[in-house]
Amino acid sequence: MKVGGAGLGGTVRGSWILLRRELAQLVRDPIAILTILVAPIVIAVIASVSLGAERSFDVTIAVSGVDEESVATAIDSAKGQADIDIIVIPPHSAEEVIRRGDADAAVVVTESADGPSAIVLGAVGAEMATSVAASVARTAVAQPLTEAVAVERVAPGRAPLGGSEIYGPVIAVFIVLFGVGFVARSLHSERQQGTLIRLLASPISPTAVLISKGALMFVVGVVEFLAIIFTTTIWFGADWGDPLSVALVTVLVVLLSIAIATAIAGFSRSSAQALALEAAVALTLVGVGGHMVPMRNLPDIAAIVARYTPNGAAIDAFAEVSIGSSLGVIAGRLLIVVAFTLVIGIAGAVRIRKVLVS
Amino acid sequence: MRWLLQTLAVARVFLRRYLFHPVNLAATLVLPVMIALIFGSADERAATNLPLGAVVEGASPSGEQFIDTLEAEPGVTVRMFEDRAQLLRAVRRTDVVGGVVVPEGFDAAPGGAQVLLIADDGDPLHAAAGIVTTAVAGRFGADPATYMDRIEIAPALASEGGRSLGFPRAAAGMLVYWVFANAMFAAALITEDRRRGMLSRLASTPTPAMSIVVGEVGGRFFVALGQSIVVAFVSSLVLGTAWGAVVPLAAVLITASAVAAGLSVLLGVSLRGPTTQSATAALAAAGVLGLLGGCFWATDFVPPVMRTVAKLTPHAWVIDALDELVAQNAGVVDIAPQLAVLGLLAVALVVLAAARLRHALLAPVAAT
Repeated sequence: MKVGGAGLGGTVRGSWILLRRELAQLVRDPIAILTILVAPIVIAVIASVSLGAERSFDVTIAVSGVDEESVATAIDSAKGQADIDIIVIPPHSAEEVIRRGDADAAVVVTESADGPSAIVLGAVGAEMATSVAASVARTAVAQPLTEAVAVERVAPGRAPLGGSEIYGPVIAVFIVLFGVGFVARSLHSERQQGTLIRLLASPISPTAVLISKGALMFVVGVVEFLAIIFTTTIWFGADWGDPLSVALVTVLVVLLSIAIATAIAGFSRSSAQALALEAAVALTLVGVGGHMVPMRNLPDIAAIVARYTPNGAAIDAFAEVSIGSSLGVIAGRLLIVVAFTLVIGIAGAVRIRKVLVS
Repeated sequence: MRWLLQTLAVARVFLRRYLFHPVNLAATLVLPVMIALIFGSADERAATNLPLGAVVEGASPSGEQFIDTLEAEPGVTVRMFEDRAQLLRAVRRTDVVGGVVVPEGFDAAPGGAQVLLIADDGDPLHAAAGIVTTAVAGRFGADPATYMDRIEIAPALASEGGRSLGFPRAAAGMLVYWVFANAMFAAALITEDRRRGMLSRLASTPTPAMSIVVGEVGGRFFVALGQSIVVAFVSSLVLGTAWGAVVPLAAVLITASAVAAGLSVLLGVSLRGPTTQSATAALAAAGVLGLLGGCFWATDFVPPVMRTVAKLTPHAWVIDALDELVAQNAGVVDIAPQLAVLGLLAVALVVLAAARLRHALLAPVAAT
């Protein structure tokens, strides 16, 4: 009987049989389960616990010199809800206090003929506290203070994205991108072991073989995403946003990874080459795509480049969905992902068919 | 002498297999510095930069002046938005760490003007943004000549308990991560040797088992040490990382390399399955240990439970020691606790790895 004979039905049937075989092998392989299911969950948990912790602006600022009270008052009136301790220290002891670790920053006010001025000292690693102390010191010495402006604090409504909401999508995209090579490597392994040639000698068409590999990767990618979505939602209360939009972005990212895997399989000649290409592609995309680093901390040019990488656009789309933006807002980002998928996928598919047929 | 030559031969084989692979070479020498550059620049900005968003509603020269004054504050950058909705979106997305709205009519309210600050009080950066905005508001209208050039910020001082940020922190994290990641990846070579029967064949030669054990551990030790020296040297050239005195740095790198070498061999003897799968599992484990150990973010900012868990990884002890060297210019005595823990761990891992590898070498021979 011709299992995967000519025609669409045969191809689908052949793909299904191969996919079932691959999935059966996968679920029996503890290392595959570890890397596909356990590792993403563990990484998501570590990142969410580590980066999602509630913190406060908890610093100690020392003040000394002339008119130290005005500096202390200026800090006190500006600090709002921040946890700032103010200590008054003797003159000339600011450096020692910082070096001892008793204060993060110190404001030393001196008096001259032109009026008061100040030197602000800070510890390595306490640059933000030093900047804040300098701002407050400016206010303490400014003259005349006549037209003060009131500041009314307003909550942003929905809280800004938390650790699990930022890093959940980042980790999911990262894991899927790093997993792309396993299909390419398995194809090469099958070629080296001779199982691929035997498979192709059977009535199963090369298209069926390719579809089964793609489908396997789709299943694995979706499982990885679901594992991270459920983990961050249930354990850390992450709000990923509208489920349909999340599903759409997820599917597009997984299709992108399949396209990259197809290209890697097509352009590499051995498992070792596939591994090298996989590492190069994944690390390049991760490097320029703004993974693991909040976009606001990237240099301007790097942030722009990141938004035009497919993975950067996808992470950006997840952030928009999470804060409740509509599909119209993320359409541009999704187009970037789709364009990359089509270009890379078509090039890879053409190439890999040649490899399989040869 | 013969024993030494045999040991060196085993180590040389490992070095050739490992270092002549372009991916391994890139992961050993190029990637740590490249990724430290990306992480470092981001961390540097995160530590020193306060990105604020702002909207000036309606034509308002005084409002523009308020935003200009805000932007002139140390570390503050201001990104302008078209309207409140866009600003709110940026705050929620964390593109900015607070939004300032100068409402319409700001100019027409001398003495009673008000700005809105969109900020989440629970976030430390938002709190810092609130302090700076309040400070600027408190002096708005004062003569800039009385405050702008009257505040001098001195260079940052090393302090007890201080922690490094920016490029030095990223360089330390990446040095530690890649030394251990490469060592753990190299574990797959032993797995491959065992699958191919190379260990059995080697055991049947006159090469003593101890030569093979010392050669495998030694080869890995020299790769780890060489890599850490190159990364430390290049990062000080490219990223300006000051690693402190040579002797304590050497002590940290030597003990860390010994731990990595022991871990690599122990993992190699313990892993089962095809080489690719073993390498994947080793890399996954390296990633988890790196995340837990504080290679990607400072453990000072994580919850206490994660800080405790971090101490279960060798990574955290190495980074802790490097942190003290960089931020506090520490000496050997200052980092003695970290060196002691790493030294003991290195001895334990190397002894255990040697015993298991020796067992793996001799077991097939004994069986026949």
